[in-house]
Amino acid sequence: MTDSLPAGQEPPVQRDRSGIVLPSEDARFRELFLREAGYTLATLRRLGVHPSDVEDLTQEVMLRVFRLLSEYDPSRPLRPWIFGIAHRVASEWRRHRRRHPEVPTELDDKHLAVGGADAEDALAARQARSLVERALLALEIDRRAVFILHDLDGCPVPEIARTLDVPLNTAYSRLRLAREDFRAEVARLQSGRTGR
Amino acid sequence: MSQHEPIDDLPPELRAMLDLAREPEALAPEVSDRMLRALDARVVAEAAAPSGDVRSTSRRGPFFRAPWQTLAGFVLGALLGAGVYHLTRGAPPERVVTRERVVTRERVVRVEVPAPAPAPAPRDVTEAPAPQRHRSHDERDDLAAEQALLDGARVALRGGDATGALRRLDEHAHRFRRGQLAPERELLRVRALVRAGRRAEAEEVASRFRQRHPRHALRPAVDAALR
Repeated sequence: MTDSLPAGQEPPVQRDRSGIVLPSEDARFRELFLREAGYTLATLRRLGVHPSDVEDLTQEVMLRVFRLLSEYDPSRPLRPWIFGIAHRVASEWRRHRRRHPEVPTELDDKHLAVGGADAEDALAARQARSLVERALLALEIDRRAVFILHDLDGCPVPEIARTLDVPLNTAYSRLRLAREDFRAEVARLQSGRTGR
Repeated sequence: MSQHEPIDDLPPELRAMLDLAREPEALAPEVSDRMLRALDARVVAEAAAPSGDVRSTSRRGPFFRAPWQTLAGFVLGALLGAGVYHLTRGAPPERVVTRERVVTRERVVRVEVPAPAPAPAPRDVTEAPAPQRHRSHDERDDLAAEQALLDGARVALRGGDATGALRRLDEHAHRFRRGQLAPERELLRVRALVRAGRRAEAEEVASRFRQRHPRHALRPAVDAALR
């Protein structure tokens, strides 16, 4: 898991002629963006955001990160903090989306860089991502958030409880239930059964 | 110390699958550039129009700054009103008021008509503030109405309802053809048309936007919407 921003790194903030700090000119934010935008996009997809909206919402999360960066506590890991923002944005999206439900059916990688990895490895990774994302969709959203943070992002449970603002036992309980659900859903998907 | 139930670990094959799926890939450079440009545009647009397009995406919701703005508006309005009142409450305006009463009081007419002449000036002063007050009021109301329509379009668009979004944008265009948020409307229209699969129309709207607003802060966002 990527930790906080490098300690003491506070590059000078540039402003345009009107005094506005632009995200692309704020070196600290720009570095964070280039490193974490892919993570943000992946997180939103794992949280069930439809591929057609995922870029807009990544942008939305990054805009909030930009606005809140001065409030970020660098003693805490960065990704759970970004996850918390992404989780809120995805929840707002889901509330609007409920009126027009649409379920993601396939992984859309059009936003990702073409890596130099071996083609077979890339294919395996893509298939794994696709299966994981489809299985995640079957998890109840609160359990899914804990599962993503712990089993994909490697975040310790106490930090998850803090990020999601839930009691520690609740976080553990959600993780246990999420793992059960995830196992069952992967088995279902791999056996090729359809319909729920 | 808190106790929690033991959690079964995931089987090795699922662990391996999660390991493969774990590391998010970097965004394609063109996607990163596009997003950064769009972020710049949103920050600029927000700075240019605090109650405009970007405000609604604030972390604390669309009305986070509204109480501030409303309060500031009232305070400014009150100060302005008090200033105008003090300017206009000298002797000359009283004459004007009296003259207006003349219609029903003949005796007063005889007294006041000979009064030395700066009569037109007070009339200007007393008549000017009223429409001004109305105008600023109307502008504020209009901006709020424009904002509400565009917010509705944005929500519809996010919900995948491109047709609903276009309907609200049409209503905005009908009511506020040259409204303060017209550029934001056209950006949303491009997005909605793309989402509705009406690409040719989206390109036409974008092209018009570029002609009308060649240096507008939202232009990169319009370009990005077509990609």
